[in-house]
Amino acid sequence: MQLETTPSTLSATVDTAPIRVLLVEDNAIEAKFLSADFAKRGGSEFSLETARTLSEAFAILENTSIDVILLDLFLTETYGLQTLSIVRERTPDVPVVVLTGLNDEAIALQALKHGAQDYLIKGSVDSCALFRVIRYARERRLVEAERRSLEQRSLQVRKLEALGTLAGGVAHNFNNILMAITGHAHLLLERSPDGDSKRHLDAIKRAATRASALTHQLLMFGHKETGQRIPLDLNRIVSNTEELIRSVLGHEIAVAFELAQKPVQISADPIQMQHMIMSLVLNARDAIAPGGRVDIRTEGIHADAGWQARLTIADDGCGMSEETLAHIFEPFYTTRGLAVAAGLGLSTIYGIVEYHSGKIRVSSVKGRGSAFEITLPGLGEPPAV
Amino acid sequence: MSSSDSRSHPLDLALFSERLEGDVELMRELASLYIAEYPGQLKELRLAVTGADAQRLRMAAHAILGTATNFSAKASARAARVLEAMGESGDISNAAEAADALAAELHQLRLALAAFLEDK
Repeated sequence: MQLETTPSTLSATVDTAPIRVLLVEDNAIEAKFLSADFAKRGGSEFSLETARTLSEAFAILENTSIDVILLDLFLTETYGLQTLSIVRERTPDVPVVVLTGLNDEAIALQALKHGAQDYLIKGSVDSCALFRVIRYARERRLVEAERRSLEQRSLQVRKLEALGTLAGGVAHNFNNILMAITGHAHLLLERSPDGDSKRHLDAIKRAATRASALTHQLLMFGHKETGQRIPLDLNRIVSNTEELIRSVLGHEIAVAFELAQKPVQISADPIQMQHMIMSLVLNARDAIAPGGRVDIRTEGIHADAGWQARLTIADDGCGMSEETLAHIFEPFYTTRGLAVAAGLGLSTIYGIVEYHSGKIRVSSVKGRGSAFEITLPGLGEPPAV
Repeated sequence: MSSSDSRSHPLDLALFSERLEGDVELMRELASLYIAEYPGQLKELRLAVTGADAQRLRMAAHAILGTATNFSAKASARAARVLEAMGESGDISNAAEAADALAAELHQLRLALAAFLEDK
């Protein structure tokens, strides 16, 4: 199973969008010449913003998404590598191409060591070289961002696998011990104990049963508790749960169902599927203020091999921070405090999706809402892909 | 460097035009911009020299160098580079003469650009 936690802030760059360049140059004439280069020879490939000071540059960077900064190292307010470090500190993710004078190659080389992507000699810049350097700087940043995101995802998957093995192993052994506790309590209860002893034994049994329910959730996350996979229609599972969903969301939260026109056949455990849907709906409810809404959608989508069933549960609630997104599938991770929630809801869902050879993807924007997308291998004919 | 040569050609108009793809409007705009900016650049250079401030001299010469290079004004660029190097080294004992030489080149460049502006 592949885990994908994709904050929407890292949305993919559309290839056809122009490369947004910010030129920081205090010399109006040089800025004008460079702008002319972009206008005359850059076509629609680039869009250029210019700033004469660092403060102007930072104001632009705050409001506009910039792909590459072209930075003159010698500005009125700062000069040399100091200029570069200020920019790098404020915007570490935006690649910087340094503009230097004819005989400043020594500084240019130092700038490269301090994080500049490349340098250009001012005044004699060949526009082909200028555009190539900018394209390359942007490309490197995209590749770097992609590499970091892949690394992060792979790390998350490995971490969850390790946690699953550990949690599953502990839960399995713990469950055996709990069975002994429940069994012995049961045997003692059969001897018709007196009032006090019976009360204590009942309490032991109740506590052991609760503990057992918890270990079952852990077993599910650890992929040690398998279900019964049968062919079923995802639409039907959602429809059968509709009444329950409406009752937990109450009157103040709207819910919209958008189900595929034809049955969405999958091979799954119906109880686990229902558990997964309810758990996601409850999470959505907790994130939504009155007046909010939940959207539940089923559909068939194209996949490399055949087709896949996709279930989306989206809300317009408070959304999650990137920090939360990075941990949500870990057992015992909760934003509500362990006294309020066990922190097993999403890790159980993770286990269920993994058991069904599926994939779960989350996107969330703080203050705007979250969407969980679960894809599962489709069975038989696709509904209408 | 031959000053008589450079003074006769303070501006390589062909290169300037090529750089801007023959966009006369843009060339005129840049020429006007130079005429407006050049007194300020020169004043800053003079202040650096009189204040014996090597770093300021370096920066002022650097700005002029950038401008001159863009106009393909080779003689001005060379003279500015001399001053920039002085600022870098910290030895500005000959800066006053060098600044005079640069001012003369810049004046020629100004005249050439003004002539270009008048020549419709």
